[in-house]
Amino acid sequence: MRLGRSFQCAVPALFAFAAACSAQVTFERIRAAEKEPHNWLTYSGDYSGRRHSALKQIDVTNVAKLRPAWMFQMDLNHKLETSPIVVNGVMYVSEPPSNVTALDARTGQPYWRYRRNIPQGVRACCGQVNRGVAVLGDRVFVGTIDAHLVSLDAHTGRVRWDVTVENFLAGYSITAAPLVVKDKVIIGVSGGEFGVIGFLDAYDAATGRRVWRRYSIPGNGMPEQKTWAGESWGQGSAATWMTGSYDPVLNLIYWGTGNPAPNSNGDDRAGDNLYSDCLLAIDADTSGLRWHYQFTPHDVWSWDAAQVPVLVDAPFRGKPRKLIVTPNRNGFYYVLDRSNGEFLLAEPFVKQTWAERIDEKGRPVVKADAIPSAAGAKVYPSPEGATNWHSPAFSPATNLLYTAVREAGAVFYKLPATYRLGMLFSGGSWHPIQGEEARGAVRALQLEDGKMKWEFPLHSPPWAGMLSTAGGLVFGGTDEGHFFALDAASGKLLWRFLSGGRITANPVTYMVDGKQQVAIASGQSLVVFSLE
Amino acid sequence: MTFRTSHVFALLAPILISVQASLAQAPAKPGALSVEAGAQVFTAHCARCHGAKGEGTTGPALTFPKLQRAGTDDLLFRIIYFGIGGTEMPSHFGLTEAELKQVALYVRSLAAKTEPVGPGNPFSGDRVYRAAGCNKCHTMDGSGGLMGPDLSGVGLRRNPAFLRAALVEPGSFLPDGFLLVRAVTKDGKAIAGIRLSEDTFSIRLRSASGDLYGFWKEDLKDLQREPTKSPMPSYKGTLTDAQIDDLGAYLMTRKEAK
Repeated sequence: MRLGRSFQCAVPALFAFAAACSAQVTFERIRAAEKEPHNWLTYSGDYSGRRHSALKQIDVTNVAKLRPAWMFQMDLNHKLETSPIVVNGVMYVSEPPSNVTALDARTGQPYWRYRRNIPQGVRACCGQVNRGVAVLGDRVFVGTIDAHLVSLDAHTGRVRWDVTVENFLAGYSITAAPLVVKDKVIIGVSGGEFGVIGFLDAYDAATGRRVWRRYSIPGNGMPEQKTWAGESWGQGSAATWMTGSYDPVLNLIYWGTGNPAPNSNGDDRAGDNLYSDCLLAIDADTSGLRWHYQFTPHDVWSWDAAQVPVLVDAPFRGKPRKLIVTPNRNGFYYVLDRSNGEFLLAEPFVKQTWAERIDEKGRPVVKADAIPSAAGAKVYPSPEGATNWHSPAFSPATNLLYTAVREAGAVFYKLPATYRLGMLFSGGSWHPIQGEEARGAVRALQLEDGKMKWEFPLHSPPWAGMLSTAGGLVFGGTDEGHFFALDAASGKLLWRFLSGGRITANPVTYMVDGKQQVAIASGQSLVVFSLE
Repeated sequence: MTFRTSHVFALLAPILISVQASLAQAPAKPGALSVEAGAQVFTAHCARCHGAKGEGTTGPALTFPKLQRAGTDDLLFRIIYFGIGGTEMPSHFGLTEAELKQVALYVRSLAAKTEPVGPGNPFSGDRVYRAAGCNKCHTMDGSGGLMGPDLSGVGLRRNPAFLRAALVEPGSFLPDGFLLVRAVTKDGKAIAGIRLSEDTFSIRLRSASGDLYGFWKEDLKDLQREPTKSPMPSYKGTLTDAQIDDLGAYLMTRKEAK
């Protein structure tokens, strides 16, 4: 795409790939994103969800010289959870609630801004946030807090099309970054606290026409609907509120689903409540459900399984496998075979007190005293989870999965719950455990067995994701505003910077003018670093 | 999300009158307007800070005929729903209208249950306050020490049972995040104080004399945390039972924050 005079096609001097200088972001480029690491073409960097970059200008020997290059101040006072996209020196960053700005990544100054008027009465459980955009061709796509999907012209920021995904008054919203697959834009919905019916949608990128919709709650006549007592499926949620991963060879989209509703009271929804708290493997062309795996059947602790799953091809117990791995909110790290959904391993990565064990079929054996009650049940982890939507990272160099973990328990209360359209539908409450300080850590888990290789303790449970790089680094952030770099092999602290704002976002890295930059949202700003 | 407190008040007003009649009703059903239903909501949302029966723990007691900030039911709804800015009282936007009504009904029912007047002589208690050195750590009406909480208007927030317990066992009512720490620098200097803020890499504290200290953790030889310890000594044995009652009675007279 042509994007102003400053775009000089300078990058191929370093990376001799014709595609890197091409005018269009194509599906093929996103599919081979690891070959142009100077760009960050999709939410997790590539389709595998690894949030790993091949860039190594910044490495363990020089990261101590990392300094702020520029900051971009956002103009609305909402929590920042955004993760930018960078294409040939142009950064597309979403700003809450549902705005988009195109920035010159060299200078930090804007090319254009898209500002959306948000109607009164939008529902958002946890802040009017937005986690990022997607790009394809000369279009930028953003999901909005009023549950629309919008296509913007990448040159101007003008709206090309704007479609209603669902009715926000019923509790739907969109906070996740879309995922482009082939010629489609895939988008999930938030609303798990409002008793919505979750689904995943695919829209034609050119026209905005909906190509398919896959509900995350089984429809009438499907035997899986019997996993909900009575009509309880009708407000069962299973929201699809984060961005998934994609395997182009298998042509499967892997998308996590959220909690069943009401969150803390399962009395009226006896059964496993499919497909809440699941990983779904969906055919990208037909929307057919190839397989599903449920982490927490009949969840009463709000342990959504929405976080980004990580795809890795690696030997497992001596046999080469196409794996999908994910540290889940329920406190267990899981390894599955992504071609067929076969359960391979579950290993706790934080303190957990709700399950005796996960049996050989991958089903948890739940402790009776872990069920929320009127008097309160003390359980680890907390409803905010052992980890949450913030991304893990995986480095092929170390074969370690890096995850920002939350060591905290909670007292879970059950309350009566009545569904009313568009109203909170929680059936309970929770509070932290008195006298205990919740803690956090970055943990490096061994891919094959989930055992901890090292940890870097954090004062507070984090809401910031991880980024790993070929420079042997892992980047992360803290609730108190530190952005830091660890040695990916040992967990040793190599660099830190106090940004002055709470960090609740995922880092990205890319290269502009021959300099590697690392970007993280903090407070009300985007802060970008490079070597001095 | 919009919420009309006045509308809820209109619904609630006639029902408040029949609080006593509701007391004997069956266990709560969704939407049932009963003190029992309110007690369930209170347990889940409020008891952590206000105590299981509203007697107060880290948050103020609610067992008063007239609540300091919630003199009217409308104010009570507003406080529960929106919280109180600048304090630890959070908003409760997650409560349904029915739950809000229930919990407000329960809070109002607490006033009838507790006798806010305790034993003891407030005039003697005034002398005990000064003789025992309470003012070295606590501020009252603008003068006194900085280490402990400000006691101006304490009689509006606390009840006699709470004050007695706090004097006998001070460590049992520490606010969330309150921590006594002892930092030892690499050159052997030890500083004890209250933690003011902390992150992964550094910590800040205030000593008993009010001095402010900040440290990089990597510069410390030792950092000890005493999570259940209050800087206030127990007065059990130091003061007689009668003196503790007198002190409590005196503090209960402090009902105006000047």
